[in-house]
Amino acid sequence: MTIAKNTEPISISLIINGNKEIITAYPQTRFIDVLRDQLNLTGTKEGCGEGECGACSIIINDNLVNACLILFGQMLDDDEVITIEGFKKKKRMHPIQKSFIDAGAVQCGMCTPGMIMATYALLMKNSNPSECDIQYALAGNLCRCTGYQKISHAVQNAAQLAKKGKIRI
Amino acid sequence: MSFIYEKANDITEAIALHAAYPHLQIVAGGTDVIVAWRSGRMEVTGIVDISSVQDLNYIEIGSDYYEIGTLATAAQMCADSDVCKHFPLLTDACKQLGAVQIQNLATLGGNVMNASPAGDLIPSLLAYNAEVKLQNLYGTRMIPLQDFFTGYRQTAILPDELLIGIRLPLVDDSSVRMHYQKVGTRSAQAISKLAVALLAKSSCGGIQWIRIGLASVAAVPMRAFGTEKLIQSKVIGQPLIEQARASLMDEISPIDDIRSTAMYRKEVCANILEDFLWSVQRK
Repeated sequence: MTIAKNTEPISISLIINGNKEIITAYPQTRFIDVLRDQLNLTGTKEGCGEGECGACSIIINDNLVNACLILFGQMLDDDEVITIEGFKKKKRMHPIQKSFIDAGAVQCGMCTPGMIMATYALLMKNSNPSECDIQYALAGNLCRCTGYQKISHAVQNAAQLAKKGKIRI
Repeated sequence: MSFIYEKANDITEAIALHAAYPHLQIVAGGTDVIVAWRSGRMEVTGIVDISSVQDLNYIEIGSDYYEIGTLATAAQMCADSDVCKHFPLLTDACKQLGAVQIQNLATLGGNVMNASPAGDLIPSLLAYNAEVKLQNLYGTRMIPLQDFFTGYRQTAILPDELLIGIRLPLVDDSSVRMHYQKVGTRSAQAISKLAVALLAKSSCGGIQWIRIGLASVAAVPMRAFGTEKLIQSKVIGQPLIEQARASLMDEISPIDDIRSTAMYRKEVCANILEDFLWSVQRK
């Protein structure tokens, strides 16, 4: 019943970007802090810290979530986590990465990891999204530079590219 | 610093932990609690984490009701074909709750227990005559949701009780008309200026009965029982519309705040009801 009392750290075995890792941290630590400070996975950005901006979007067990709203203690053994770093495993660029670059959908880059994770979550479930689907899927990700048009184009292009290859990393 | 973090693995543990530490914050999806805690709006000295209790994430199908477990996420409710079919006002509300990231975390029970006057799922639950199932070490009880909110962010739950699930009586008529509308600055993420869930049974140009669930128009989410009674068994026409608008604007008590004004909320609430009544009459 009790996994930790009075701020004792706990250990959980997670699959992070395909690699099994045993992580020890205080259960009340936010998962974004575990990723960034402990695992040095700093691709996941912290924007608002309140679940509004989507910069910290990651995927846990195929669900897109905000890493700033999850406590380490809520994780379970063998949970599968994908962060933006999961995209750099292959030599060839992932279709989503390529289409973001081609469309000029990146300016300052702060929102980009979250945008790419949200795009990945969308395309895993819907390989042929409409403009409306894209807007809905990315509504939880704020960008203060590009005005969204190019990001939306990038997602459309990624969907086209993804039809030829596989989207899952 | 002495922070207590207790994780429950099943319902029995969750209730026992909550009874042992009634002052600790329960965390389900965490989308409200973690934000309020981190921003300093809520003091949290420890956590009872119920997020992994699988027995609290269920859908029980009774002969004349559905019961949805407290841990069902907004995304799960949207994805469930039975819930979509029988309770479309609820799934409409789930689709407009936060954004995808939030829908994957935010739970039914969390939305109710947060007891925000702006709780996104509550108008629909009220329109469906939902009942909340509460359990402590000594037993289980059901309370109609309409009696659950006792004041601004106050509920009738006892300190040792846990919200287990929400029971929704089936609407035994497929010909009912319904409409959910959340009015906000943008459809995703923004807290609503107001939200309305309407459910009605029409009969030859008139309304047999109507249920009006509302959020962000009073200190608590509410049903507009007075206006419902006024409309019931009446023929829809300009005189009834005028009376219904006046009644609804009188029955709600919105405030001026950062998101909107009281007058705007009253007018828009009446407009949504009016549009709905005309749409019922047209068909």
